[in-house]
Amino acid sequence: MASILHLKALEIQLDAILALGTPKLSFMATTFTPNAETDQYFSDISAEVASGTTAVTLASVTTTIDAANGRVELDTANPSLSTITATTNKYCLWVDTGVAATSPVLATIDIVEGTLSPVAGTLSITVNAEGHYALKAV
Amino acid sequence: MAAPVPESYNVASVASGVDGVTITKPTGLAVGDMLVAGITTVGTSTALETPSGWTAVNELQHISGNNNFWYGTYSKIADSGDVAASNFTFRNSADGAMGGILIRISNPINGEPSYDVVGRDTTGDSTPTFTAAGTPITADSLLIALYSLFDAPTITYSSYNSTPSKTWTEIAEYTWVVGGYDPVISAAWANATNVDEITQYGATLSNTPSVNVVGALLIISAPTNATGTNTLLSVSPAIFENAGVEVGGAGTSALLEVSPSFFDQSGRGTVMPVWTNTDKPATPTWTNQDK
Repeated sequence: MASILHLKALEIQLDAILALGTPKLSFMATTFTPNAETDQYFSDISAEVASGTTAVTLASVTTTIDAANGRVELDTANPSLSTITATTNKYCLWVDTGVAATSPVLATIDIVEGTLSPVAGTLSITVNAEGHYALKAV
Repeated sequence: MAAPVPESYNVASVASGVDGVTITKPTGLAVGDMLVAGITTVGTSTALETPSGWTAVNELQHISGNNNFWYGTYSKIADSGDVAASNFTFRNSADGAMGGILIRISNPINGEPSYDVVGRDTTGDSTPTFTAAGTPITADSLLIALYSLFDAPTITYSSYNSTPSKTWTEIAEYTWVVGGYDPVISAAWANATNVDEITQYGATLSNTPSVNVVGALLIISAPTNATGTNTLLSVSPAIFENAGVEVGGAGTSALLEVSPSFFDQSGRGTVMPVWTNTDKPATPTWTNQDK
C-alpha cells in the first residue's frame, strides 16, 4: 500500500493556524516580491501593503476537504474595500494575532487580472469558486 | 458606483457696499457631496478670497478696457458642519459688487476636480471659446463649465458646446444690477461619456458682450471600481519518506519531493519462542496391590 497524507489531519492543521487570531487579507504594492522563506509574520510584509488600503477582515472562512482532488481548500467570502484609491496586483492572507510580529502570513496570491487601480471606488476580489489556496495530500 | 451629477444649486448677489456674498446651502446637501462655487466680483482692487476650508480651483483677474473683474471657482467636499450650515459666504478683499452660483454635486471623488482650466475670450463676439486640455479619468466623469461676462444690455447664454461635442445642459443663468455693466453668470454640465480629451469649450450668446467673457471648465471624475479574481493556489507540502529499520540494523533516511513530514516505518520483527512439549511420562503400568 502507498503512503498517504490524511486530509483530515491537514484540515486540522490549517484550522489550528487560523484559530491563532483573526484571518485577514491585505492588498500588496505592485513592488512587493514575496519571499516564501523569510516572510513569516505580518511585520515582515506590512511595509509593502498597497498605499491607501487597509486590511480586510475575512468573512465566512472555511476549510473544506476536497476528496476528489485530494486536498484541503481555504475559502472565504469575497473581500472588498470601499472608497479606495490604490494600485495593487496581489494580496496576502494572514492571521492577525493582535501583534504584527506574531501574526503568521499564510499565502501571497496573484490577482489574475494583473494590476487593479480603483479611484475612490470599490476594490474587490471575486474569490475562485474553490477558494484562495489548497493543501494537496498527493 | 454612480457618476457625479449636479443635484441642486443656489445663486445670490450683492450690488455693493458689503463685504461678501452669502449663498444659501443647496438643498439635499449630504456629507461627501461636492460643492462647487463660481464667484465673480467687480472692481480694480477687490480680489477674491478663498473661504476657509475651500479649495481655490482657479481665480482669474480680467481687465477689459476700464472694466475689471475677478472670477473664481472653489470646491469643497461637504462635511457635517457644511450639512448643518444654512449658507456659505464668499468674500473679496474690499467692499464691492459680488455674486455667484453654488452647486451641489453627488458622488464626487474626494480631492477632485481632476482638471480645471480658466480662460478669457478676447474675440469680442457672441461665441466665446476657450482652449482646454483635460482628459476625463473615467467615462462617466462630470464636466462643469462656468461663465461670467459683463454687459450693459441683458445678454443670455443660448447654448453651450465643447470639442468633442457633448450634450450640455444649463444648470443656471443669473444676472444682477451693478450699475453700468451688469454681470451675467451661468453654469452648464455634461457627462463626458468617454475619456476623450476635451480640447475646447464655449458658449453661444444672444448678443455680443461689451466686456470679454471668462470661462472655467472643471472635470470631476466618477469613482472607478476594480474587481479581480484569483486562481486557486494548490500546493503540496514537503514529505519525507524514511527507509525502514531492520531488527538489529541501522536505517537510512532519504528526502523525497512530496508533502509534509511523513514517516514510513517498518514493523520491528520479534522472534517468538518455539514451544516444545515436554516429554510425557511413560504410561504407568498399574499393578493391583494385594488386598
